[in-house]
Amino acid sequence: MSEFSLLDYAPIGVMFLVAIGFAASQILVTQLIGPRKRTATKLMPYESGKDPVGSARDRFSIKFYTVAVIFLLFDIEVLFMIPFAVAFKELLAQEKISTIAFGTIAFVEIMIFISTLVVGYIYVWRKGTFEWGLQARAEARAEAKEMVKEKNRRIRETQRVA
Amino acid sequence: MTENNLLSLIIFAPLVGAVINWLIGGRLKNELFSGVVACAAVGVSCVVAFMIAFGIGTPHIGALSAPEGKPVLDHIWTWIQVGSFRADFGLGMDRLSGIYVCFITFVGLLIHVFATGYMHGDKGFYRFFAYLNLFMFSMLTLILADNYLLMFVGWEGVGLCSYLLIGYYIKRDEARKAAKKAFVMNRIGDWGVLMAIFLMYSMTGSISFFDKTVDGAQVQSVFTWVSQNVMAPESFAGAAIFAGGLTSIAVLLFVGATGKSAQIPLFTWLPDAMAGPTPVSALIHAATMVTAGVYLVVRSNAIFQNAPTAMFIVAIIGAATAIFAATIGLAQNDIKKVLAYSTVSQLGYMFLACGVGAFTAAIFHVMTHAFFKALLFLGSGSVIHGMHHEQDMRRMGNLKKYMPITFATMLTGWLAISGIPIFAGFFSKDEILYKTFASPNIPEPWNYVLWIVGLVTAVLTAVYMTRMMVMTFWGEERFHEELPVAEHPHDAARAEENAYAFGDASDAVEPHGDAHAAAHHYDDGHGAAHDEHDDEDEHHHALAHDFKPHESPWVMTVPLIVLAILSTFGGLMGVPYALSSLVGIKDANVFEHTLEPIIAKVSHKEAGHSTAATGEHAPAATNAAGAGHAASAAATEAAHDAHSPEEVRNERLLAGLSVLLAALGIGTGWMIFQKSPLKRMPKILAEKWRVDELYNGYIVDPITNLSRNALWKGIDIGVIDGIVNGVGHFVAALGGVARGIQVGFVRSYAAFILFGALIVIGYFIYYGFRLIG
Amino acid sequence: MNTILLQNLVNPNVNLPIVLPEMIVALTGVIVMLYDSFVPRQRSVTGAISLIGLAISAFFLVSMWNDAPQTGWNGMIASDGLRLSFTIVFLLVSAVTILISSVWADNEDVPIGEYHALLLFATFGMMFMASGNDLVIIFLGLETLSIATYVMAGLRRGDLKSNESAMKYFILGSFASAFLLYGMALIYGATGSTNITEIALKVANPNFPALLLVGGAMMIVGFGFKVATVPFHVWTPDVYEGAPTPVTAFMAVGSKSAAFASFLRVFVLGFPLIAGVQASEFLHESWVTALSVMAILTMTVGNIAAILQDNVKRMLAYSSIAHAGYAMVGFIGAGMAKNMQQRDAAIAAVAFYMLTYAVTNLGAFAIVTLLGQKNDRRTAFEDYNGIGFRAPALAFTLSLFMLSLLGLPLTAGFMGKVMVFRPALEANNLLLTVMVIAAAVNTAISAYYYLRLIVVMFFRERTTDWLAPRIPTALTAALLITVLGVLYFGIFSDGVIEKFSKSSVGTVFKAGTRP
Repeated sequence: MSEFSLLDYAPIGVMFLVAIGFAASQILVTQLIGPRKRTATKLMPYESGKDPVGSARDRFSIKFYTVAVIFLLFDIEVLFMIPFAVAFKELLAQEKISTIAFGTIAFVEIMIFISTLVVGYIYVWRKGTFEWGLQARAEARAEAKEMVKEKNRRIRETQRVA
Repeated sequence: MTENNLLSLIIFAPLVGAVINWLIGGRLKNELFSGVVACAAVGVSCVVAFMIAFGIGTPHIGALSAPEGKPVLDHIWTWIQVGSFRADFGLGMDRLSGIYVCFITFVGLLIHVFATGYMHGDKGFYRFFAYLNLFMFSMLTLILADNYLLMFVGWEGVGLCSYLLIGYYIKRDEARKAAKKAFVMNRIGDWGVLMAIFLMYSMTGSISFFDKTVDGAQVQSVFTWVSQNVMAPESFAGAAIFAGGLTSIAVLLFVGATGKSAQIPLFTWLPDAMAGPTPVSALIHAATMVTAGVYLVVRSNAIFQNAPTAMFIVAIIGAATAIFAATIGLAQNDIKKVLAYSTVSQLGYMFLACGVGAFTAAIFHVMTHAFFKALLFLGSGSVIHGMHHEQDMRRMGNLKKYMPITFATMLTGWLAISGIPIFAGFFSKDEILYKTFASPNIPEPWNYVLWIVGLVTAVLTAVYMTRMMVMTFWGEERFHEELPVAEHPHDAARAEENAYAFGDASDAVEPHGDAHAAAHHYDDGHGAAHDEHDDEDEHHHALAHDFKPHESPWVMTVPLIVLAILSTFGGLMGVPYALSSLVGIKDANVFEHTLEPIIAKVSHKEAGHSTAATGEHAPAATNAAGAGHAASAAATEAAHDAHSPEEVRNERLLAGLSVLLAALGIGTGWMIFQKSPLKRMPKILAEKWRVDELYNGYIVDPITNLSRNALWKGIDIGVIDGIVNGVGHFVAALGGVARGIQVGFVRSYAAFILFGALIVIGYFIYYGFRLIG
Repeated sequence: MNTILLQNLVNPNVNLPIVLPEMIVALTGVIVMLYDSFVPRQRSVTGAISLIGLAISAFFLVSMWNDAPQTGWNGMIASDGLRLSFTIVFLLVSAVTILISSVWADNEDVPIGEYHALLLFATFGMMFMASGNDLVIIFLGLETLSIATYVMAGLRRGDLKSNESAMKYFILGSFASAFLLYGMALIYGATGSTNITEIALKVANPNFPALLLVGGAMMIVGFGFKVATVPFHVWTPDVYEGAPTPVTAFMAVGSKSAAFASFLRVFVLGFPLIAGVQASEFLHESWVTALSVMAILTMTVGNIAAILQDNVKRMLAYSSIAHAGYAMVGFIGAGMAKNMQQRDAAIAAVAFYMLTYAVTNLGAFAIVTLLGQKNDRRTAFEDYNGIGFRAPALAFTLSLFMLSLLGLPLTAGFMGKVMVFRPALEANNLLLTVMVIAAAVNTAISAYYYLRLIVVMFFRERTTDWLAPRIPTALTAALLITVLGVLYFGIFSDGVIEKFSKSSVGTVFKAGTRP
């Protein structure tokens, strides 16, 4: 590794190419084979279900916020595992030739880290943060019930008329 | 140095008793419970005190016989330790405090027992005993403290308890006012003690009584410092009082002693204090608390002996108080008032003894006085009890028929205080008189003057005590006698006035002594005599026609009998050589030998003032010319062991003289009062030399006026309030600014923080530039 | 590639026992959090778990007490007098806060389990602020504490004031943290290390002396905010008033002492005076002077503003500003100490001061919580009118706390003041003496508003009906602890001070005279 050689970085270039190609091919394929029913709503830019044009001081559900935060947290925390993974092999090797148990320590530490994440995960799960549609589901159920009632009422009415 | 943790039990047992009585007794309202708890608490103290003092049941030698007077110590906790200043919550029993603790707990126990009978039926029974136990705690703290500061805690504690107990009958005006008066007078004295402690610390760097090792640190006592650093006594001059040296300390300590022990000029509270229940008078205002001043002086004898000026002042004040109070005692009609003045007078004797350097004699008299005065007070309490709370001797008479035990016991008390040989008072009083006569400390001819004053007082004592006994126990029964309403019509009003002067300034606007009050206070015009709750006030006016006094129950007579025995034989502990050798006993003065180690040995370089330490047995006056003043220290040392024949002869002569005078006094009293018990006494004496009026006219009223007109209306309302309000407005304005910052907007806060940050950073950068440039 | 990595490998120096108390608190926090998420309806179980955890932590902490000062984790964690004495204060504060908040939790609908977990995490942060011997650890501790307290301040979700309090605290707190972090970065730049022991060594010969000064200034801003010194105190009244009372108590006592612990460690141990070295002398002189002026301003502004308050909580908020000023007197005394013994004694004095302030203030806030009723409606001075003889036990206890805050002898407050003023006087420096005099004058001023509460309670007539509230068991325990503390530390302070006076890590100390 004494001299710098651009060739060493070729895999990264390949990776870039593959990524670009994948994205481009996806767009191309959907354009070609996807069914097309153009409605006004469908033609709007996607903004997580929000109206993209309007007042910025609009209220929106807190769920967006919590989900975003939780996503960010776990996302970034998982990121920390990459340096560990990179160094772990090295540390294991080091453990064999030195008196200090580098590998074991690193492993225990990453386990503590992961278990902390798991605790956080359990917590948000138990607290119901992932119950996205809880309310919506309840509403739908209520609506359905209402509809059934309406339907029955109508049937009874027609029977009376008859 | 001996450690004994039992020592703390002596002081804490009464405290526990007080707490139990206050917390539990207050709910139970059971006299038996309260009485037993209180007596048991003091009983425990008493037993432990004797155990430690005499080394019974303890692994070490008793405090009273430990070699060189080494104290038994008990370090309870380190109270204050700041820099070099150290005050422990520690106790120490040496020979002095050992004697004190023994007689205080013992007499205290007897008085507690007596009080269970005396206070029978009182609504505040538990409260009384809680206070009484609290008093015992404070008093024992005072005596057992191993440093001046803790002693001061006890000193203040007994002052507080005295206040509470004098004002025990809170519904009665005179009791409240007497309590207030006692407290204020004591505070004046307390100032002296505090100043003395400050001065002492700044001078010696210590406030401890004993040399000791605490937590590995050596603590040097004040007295050791004095003995190591003071080579010669300070000069005998008035200027020494204000020089800030040992003399100043001694005088300030004595100021405290005059307050607590009712000496001129702070004595007027003690007679008023008789408004408290009689057991209180016996315990606090006769046997224990009032002798705290003597304790303080004797405890500090190393300081006093190096301050001849202070010694002289002590002697003069003591003698003056003795004779002054005795004259007043002659003319009082209230039985407790007579005893109160008698107490003041006897305390004067004790200070006289201190002043002439006879510290052991002073303590001896404290102890015998505790016996016979407690006896007399309890006897008077028994009389009052039997007479259904009548205190005026003019309505007594021939009580010996009804109350034989009380009579017999008081008889011994009477003989003891009058100075009849064998009885306790004789030995102690006689020793004081002889030591005064032979004192090497007092410049001639003052020692003779003081001696004569002492002798005259002895005669007067015999006279007024005889008057009291005759009026009470002999003669005809005057139970239903109608007394002239207010012998001195203005007296009652004036008494009210006295009390007012010590009350709130705002009280004084009420009309003084209205007619109703004047009609009520018919007795001796003092207004402080009714020893009963106000709802039973009617007792005084009309005793039922078939009224017969009755003897008190056994709980009251047994303590009387015990005290009578002590008053009779208690004096034999300290029979001086000159008298004991008459019956062939060489070394009978156990008391003096016991106390010897605590009296500092002072090397006097000045010729003519021989040592006070050996002055106990100093050759002193071999004849009227008083050649003894020139005797060298070496000669006195020799004399100490040898008891020179001349000295012995002198002492015997003087003793004979005082016996003669006592007999004369009793005889005179008998002659006069047997014939006419209601003989009118000189008015000026009945009015107590008008000292209260003097104080009110020249001190209290001016101060009240000054306070009200100048200080309150002028300075307080005008200046101080003005300043305070001004400052208040100013601060309010400033605060408005400070509050103005709090507008509530986060952006403003952030800006403010940023602004502050810029200043701080700017300041640092300024330094940074200096660093670079 | 392998070889490079190998050379940089350092021994991680794992020293678990040294951080055991912290770990136990964190673990308890996790347990509480999980328990709460699985058993959502509980009201007091998590409180009990928390108390047990704190007790175990305290047990391990006390068992470390007689160890010699030591460091672990490559010098990032220090266990010395400063850490031990402050940490025990934190544990006490946390436990008493849990006891106090039982009242609040019973009256109102708050997520109590979350609250306990947050409190434990905050305590965990505080503990690392005291034991961190590295700027990074201190910053992490500070943020752990801060984030937990931001949330706790806003825990009363339905209350606008509580929301406002949390929001203000959060915004201003992050603002101040930025200063602190920037300061730390500059110090790192100037000395090439974040370890305080190494910084202290490097102060004698810094890479960039000017950066050192600016970094110090920035850190003063950051810590000054947490300690609430003038002019960085502006957030305190609003935040303290709005937050639920137990949380206010925790912030006023806990956060403040934690900030003092790190503040002391960074400045006294990290920026010592090394005679003859200009950079060190300048740094030392400038921080001592700046802090002295700030201390005087803090006391004065706190007391004067407190006089005007009509709300007891707000009055206590201003009073806590003033008390920070008094504690700083001892802090500066530590900075000006002539030798290591004096320095360590002064540090112990500050810790002792925080201890006395903690017991007193927690007690006062406990009663304010109880009397405040739901949503802290009753915290104005007039709400205290004439309650003295209707609830004598409460009123007398509150009076005791007021007297202790005032610093009356035989109370803890008095001994605390004596202890912190003494090192400042021993320094024999004009500025410090002026500061002590200012503190004494301020104590006199403070008598006005402390006594006012007593006067209001005992001598004002009450116009409305008022029933003495029942005192719950947990609150009784809290009051018992605090009253005993106030009396014990007031009367038998010697033993505690002696226990606190242990030497601290940080051996760079060369006595020298100021230029």
